[in-house]
Amino acid sequence: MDNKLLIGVTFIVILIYVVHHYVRRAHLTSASRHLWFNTAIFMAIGIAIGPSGFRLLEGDDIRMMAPLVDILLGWIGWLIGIELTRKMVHLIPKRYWFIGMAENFVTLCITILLFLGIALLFKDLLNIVLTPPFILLAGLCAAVSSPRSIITLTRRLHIPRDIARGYAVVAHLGNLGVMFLMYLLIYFYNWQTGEYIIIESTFKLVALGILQGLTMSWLFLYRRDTPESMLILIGVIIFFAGAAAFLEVPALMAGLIGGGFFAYFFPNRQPQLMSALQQSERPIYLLFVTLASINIPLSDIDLYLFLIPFILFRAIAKLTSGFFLKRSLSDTVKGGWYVGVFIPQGALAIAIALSAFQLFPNAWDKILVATVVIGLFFNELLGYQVLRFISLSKSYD
Amino acid sequence: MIDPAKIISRHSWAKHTAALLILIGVMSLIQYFFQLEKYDSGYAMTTMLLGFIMLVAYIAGLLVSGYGLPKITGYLLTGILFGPSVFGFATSSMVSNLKLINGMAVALIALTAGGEIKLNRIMHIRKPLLFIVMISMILVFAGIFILTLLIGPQLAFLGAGTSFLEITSIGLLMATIFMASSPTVAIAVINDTGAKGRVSDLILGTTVIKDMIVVIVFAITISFAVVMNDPGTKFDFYALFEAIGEVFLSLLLGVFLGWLLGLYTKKIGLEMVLIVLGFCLLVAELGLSYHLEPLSICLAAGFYIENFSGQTGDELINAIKKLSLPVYVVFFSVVGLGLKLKMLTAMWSVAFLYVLVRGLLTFIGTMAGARLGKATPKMMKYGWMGFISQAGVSLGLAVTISRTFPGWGSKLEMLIVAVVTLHEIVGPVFLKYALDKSGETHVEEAAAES
Repeated sequence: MDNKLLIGVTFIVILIYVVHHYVRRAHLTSASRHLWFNTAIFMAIGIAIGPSGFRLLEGDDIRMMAPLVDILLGWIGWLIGIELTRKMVHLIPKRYWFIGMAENFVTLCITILLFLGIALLFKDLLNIVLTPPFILLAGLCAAVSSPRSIITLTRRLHIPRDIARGYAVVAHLGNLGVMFLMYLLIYFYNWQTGEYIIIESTFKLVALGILQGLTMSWLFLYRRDTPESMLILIGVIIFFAGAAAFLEVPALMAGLIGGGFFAYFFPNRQPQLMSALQQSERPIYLLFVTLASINIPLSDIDLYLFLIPFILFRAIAKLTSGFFLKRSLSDTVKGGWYVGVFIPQGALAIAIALSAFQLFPNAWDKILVATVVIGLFFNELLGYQVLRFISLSKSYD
Repeated sequence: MIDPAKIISRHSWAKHTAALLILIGVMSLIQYFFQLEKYDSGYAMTTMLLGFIMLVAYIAGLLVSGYGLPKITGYLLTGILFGPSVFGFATSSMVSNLKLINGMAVALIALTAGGEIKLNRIMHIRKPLLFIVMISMILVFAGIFILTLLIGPQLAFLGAGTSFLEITSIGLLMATIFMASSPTVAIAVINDTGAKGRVSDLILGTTVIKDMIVVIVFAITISFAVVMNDPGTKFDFYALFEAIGEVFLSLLLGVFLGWLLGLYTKKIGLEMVLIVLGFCLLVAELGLSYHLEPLSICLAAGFYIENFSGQTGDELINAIKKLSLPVYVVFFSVVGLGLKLKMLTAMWSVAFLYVLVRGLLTFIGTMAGARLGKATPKMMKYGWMGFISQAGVSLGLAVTISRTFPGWGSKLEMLIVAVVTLHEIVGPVFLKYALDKSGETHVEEAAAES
């Protein structure tokens, strides 16, 4: 009788209680408590059940999780797309679009340059091959910020609300640019077959996204907070995530288009759907983190050789892009908080890494996914500390 | 549960229909152009099917509820319609991929069922409950056994050379399996209708107890059947003790896990939905790895949480109930996908006979038990309707028979599946009728007022 299930579960139970006990007794801020008890715990659970832990899930079991990952990617796509209301698209100042795209583009370029430097100087030390697509993807993952973290952290630090919202909008717009670039990177050219697939893929993606938005608009007719609304939401996202996987287009982008279509053309019902999506945001995020953590190869030295530069380069890139854009920032987006506000990351970074990894598992190493997952924790912590430092220094002014 | 008719207006049916047409259209196009057989093991198609079946089944449930039928009948019929037997949107491998999800769904439904069994309410009806369990089970067992002995030699699938001992063993096995009723269907219909009262408590309590007894009795009868079919073998006492042990160990583990879950809710109480899902996944895995009964584990856990965890139990049960609707829709539609109508059409006359006889014996046994136990008139009159449905446990035992007896075992499995299929289709209808007529869904009162 194989007892690893019992041992694994016992470990997880003890882990939850120990961390909770520590978090309660330690004098941590609420942001840190949240980070430790949620993100860190679920990451640890993912590692514990995967090949690096108690091997409760291995090989075929992990491959069977692929549909669940597709569904979660579609869900994240919807969470981002549903915010693209007419008000947002038409009324947000154009310079916010520019700031968001430029901020991420600068981060992307700096990260890519730094990794290229590493690739040229230390290529013999690393076993993973820092190919151009790999570096581009790493740069894209580094460029992503988290609007949700911005709102949460700024609220905890009592940063003025309009400033925080301005930054969140900029981050959101920037993320859209990153998603578009990711799509181009993967779907412009098939690196394995050597074919240009952009037109066919875009057609399938747009058609699927619009169908998805229409289907949701015709089915999601219930009051928020009802079990029926949640069931419709789950059903539509699952169906079209499966369709995206079948048609070999990214579920993340299909969800984005579907959500954007719904938000733009059905503004009366957008608040209800957004409320239903946001209710599920935390469990979806934590489940996503858990699944993404399963494959973290803790014993692989290349992970650490890649992780440390990734976090470092990203922090440098984000700080640099923040300073670089200082002059472009309007009055409503002022304050020194831009220095740290774009450092925290959310599930989108993992989603981008996983989207590429799922479709091209031989081309992209799972180390990138592992790096992004672990980096998420450190980036959130780092971002919070930087913001806190700035807030405290501002309070002395 | 909120009545959807009060939430959406009538003209929204046009929008629902349009959305349904998109879904059916996409699935049909894929089936036509890509020929599903090539994608038999594709998880993409299975994922699409899951989403498709959830949405279509839900709308079908709304539709049938307008005709006074329980929504789960709509879910079942959707599964049957789009399954391999009729339209063929689902292939057999997709259905078996989806059955993996059903393991978790059973755990969640059982957790809900256990959470609905309130000790103080069960204690009020303990006498009729125990009498009904005893008498109806004995009567059904005896009646089905005698029926099988009588018609056994005429059953075409058994073949001319079937001995009396083989027919006797078949009779014992069928009698055991047909004693069972389905707690999952009971809780689904009770929750769906929002029924509350003594008839609901009686039906739920009885089906739960019957399920556990059937597992133990099956261990006894299958051991006897093995000996009768192969005189060289001895009665397997170890298998019997193992079966009894599995049931009690499952219950004990359920209580322990319920305590643990209650402790987590009280001390930490975060991310309850994820924790409940993780719990159900764990129980499903425990069942596979250690040959325990996920149904019994979760029933016991739910029961402990509801009755011994105080206020924290309510929080947990509320978290579980949030997931109920999608789980019921998925579970019963996947059950429908897996129903093999070909078996039913091949053996419909014999299956129909067994259904009639079982129904009659259940009626008589429940009436007698209710009378002896001094049950209320409503329990006496309508209680038996809650024991018609059968589901997973019966099908699981049928598979065991097929594996244990290579000769006639597979044919007997077909007959049992055919009978259980009929019970699954008509059982929920009877149960809802019983709940409506006994006034526990307040449908009759509303009709009287209008």
